[in-house]
Amino acid sequence: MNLYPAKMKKVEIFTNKKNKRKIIDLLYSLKMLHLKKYNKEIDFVDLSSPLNSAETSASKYLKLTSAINLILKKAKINDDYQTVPVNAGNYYSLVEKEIDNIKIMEKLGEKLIDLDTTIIKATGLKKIGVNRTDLFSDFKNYNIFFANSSQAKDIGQEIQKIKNVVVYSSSNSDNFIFVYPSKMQKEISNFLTAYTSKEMNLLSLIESFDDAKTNNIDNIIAHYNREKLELEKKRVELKKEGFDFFTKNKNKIFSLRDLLKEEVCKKQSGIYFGETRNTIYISGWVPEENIKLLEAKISTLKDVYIELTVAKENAPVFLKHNESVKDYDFLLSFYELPKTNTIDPTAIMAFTFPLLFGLMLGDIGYGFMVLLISLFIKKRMKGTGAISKILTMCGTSSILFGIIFGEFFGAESIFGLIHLHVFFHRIHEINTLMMICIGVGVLHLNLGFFLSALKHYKNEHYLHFVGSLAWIMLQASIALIFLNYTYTGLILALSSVVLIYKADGISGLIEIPGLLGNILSYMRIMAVGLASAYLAILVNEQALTLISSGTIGIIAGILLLVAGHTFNTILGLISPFIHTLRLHYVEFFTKFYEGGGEKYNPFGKE
Amino acid sequence: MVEPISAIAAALAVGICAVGAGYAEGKIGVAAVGAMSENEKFFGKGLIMTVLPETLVIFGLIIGIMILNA
Repeated sequence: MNLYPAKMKKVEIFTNKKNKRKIIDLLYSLKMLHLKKYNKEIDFVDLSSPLNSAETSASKYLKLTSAINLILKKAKINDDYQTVPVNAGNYYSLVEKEIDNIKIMEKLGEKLIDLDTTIIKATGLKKIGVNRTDLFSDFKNYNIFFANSSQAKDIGQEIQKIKNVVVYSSSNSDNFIFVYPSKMQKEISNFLTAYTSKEMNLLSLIESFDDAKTNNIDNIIAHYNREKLELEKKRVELKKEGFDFFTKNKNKIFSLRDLLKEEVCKKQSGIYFGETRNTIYISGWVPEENIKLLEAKISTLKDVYIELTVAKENAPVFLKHNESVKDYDFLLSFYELPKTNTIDPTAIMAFTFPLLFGLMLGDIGYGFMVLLISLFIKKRMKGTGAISKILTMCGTSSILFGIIFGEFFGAESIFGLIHLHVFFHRIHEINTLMMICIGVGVLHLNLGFFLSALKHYKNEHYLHFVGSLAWIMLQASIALIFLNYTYTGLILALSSVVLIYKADGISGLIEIPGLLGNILSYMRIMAVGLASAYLAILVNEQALTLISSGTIGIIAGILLLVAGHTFNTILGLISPFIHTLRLHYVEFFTKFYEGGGEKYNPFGKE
Repeated sequence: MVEPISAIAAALAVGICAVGAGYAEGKIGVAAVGAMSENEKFFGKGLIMTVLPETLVIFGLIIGIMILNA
């Protein structure tokens, strides 16, 4: 069980500039060094630059990634693939042709939309009775507008009432043309603001038909329909060719993307380095356990000097845990990662989180529902592995406490068939439950104080170490007073207060009454649990009343059971989760936790 | 059997505390969600600040239980 983040060492590498590419390749393949960005901390060392052709590689990578995203979206191909060896240079030029075809295909798609609009407008003119485009060529002092509106009839009737305005419209069309003297522009604009319509200058519209090289509207429509058919055919061919290529070569293309990404990452890494005329300076952090391997590998290069120092507080934090525990660092990511050289509570939370959750929910039926939900999100949602595993443990813990409380969806039997033995009746023994919650709180908080003491001992802050233990002693002394060892208790309590004052100053003394609040806060375990249990009992009682009232009552009762327990399951999942999280973040963590650490992110393949 | 006046007193103890906590949480919650929309990293701190007044209800609950047990 690791109670501390992995120990880190600061690494500084100096090498000949000729080795720049070699050392980048080596560090990338090792994936051990968390690079520190050089900020001109050394007078005679300047900032370095990316490797040559970094921009070209980045542009290739972006071009390929956008093409892949487009294909994945349009062809509905999944993104699972197997990495295969590819020659980045040769294969990219082959893929680039297909990428260009896909771009042409996209442009054709845009052109087809424009063509559709043109055809619709030309057809609109035809419906009004405009058979030729040269009909309006002599209207030089007039404004002629072609408009479309669902209120075409109303506009047509009203606009005709304005003097000198002529309207051309048709009963079976939403389009109309209106002609008015140019000087009436303002009056017409004001009139149209009362309606929703789209207007465009008719002469400009007619000009847009120029490439059809005819004045006849029927011929214009036929011309654009022919063009549309040709483009559609071409687009379908390109689409088939491009999609087929990507589908057949999916593994190769995704592997090429990864290669390009790797190349971009390596070439851009130069911006993290410092350099002089002949030397490269690289700095960063490495977990202590990897130091020997890193040194051995780097020593294979010529002209390399490596310096190791103890990592300070600003070192990245590497939380190293075994499989059964590591998912709980997900709960820390909600908060803040611990600083390096401080306590990492992940392993403890792996035990306390499901325990408190189970104690709150404590029902066999709801526990199974939580298990089902965890299985569902694991299968259906990507990237939910950690939360699913946490929920599995929480569900299991709820089932175990459900067995102790003898509750199955609030009832003391499983569907009335198997009677459950009640080891502890939490609904009837509220006072005992209250004491259990306070007991759990005291243990949890003192675990926090103990971890605080451990942290200060490790960092050789002995006064704070004693101060942390004084908090535990203070509680013990209060217990002694209650057990009638009044004088011993009082002396111990006074000593604890003095030690707390010495270690934490006035703020420590101010926090003493807060300790009672912290302990009483654990009563929420009882409150949340009883609320859930009472709601379940209420649903069961109401449903049974309905079921005993006849056929319709049976259906209504079953529906009430399903709806009520589904609702309570959702509440039973969210509420204990949030409250358990709170007990950890507010009550437990405030005793020892120091957040604000940066995640250890070694330079290498993702 | 609980005296009716005790039951009312217990209900008021929990209810008034809940209204107070709800009012405070509402005010803090708005600020916390605002901070979170700017930067997701504020989730932990936002949650802590938002749930702090909840303890008020727990105090109310204890008083309620004490009244009913008296």
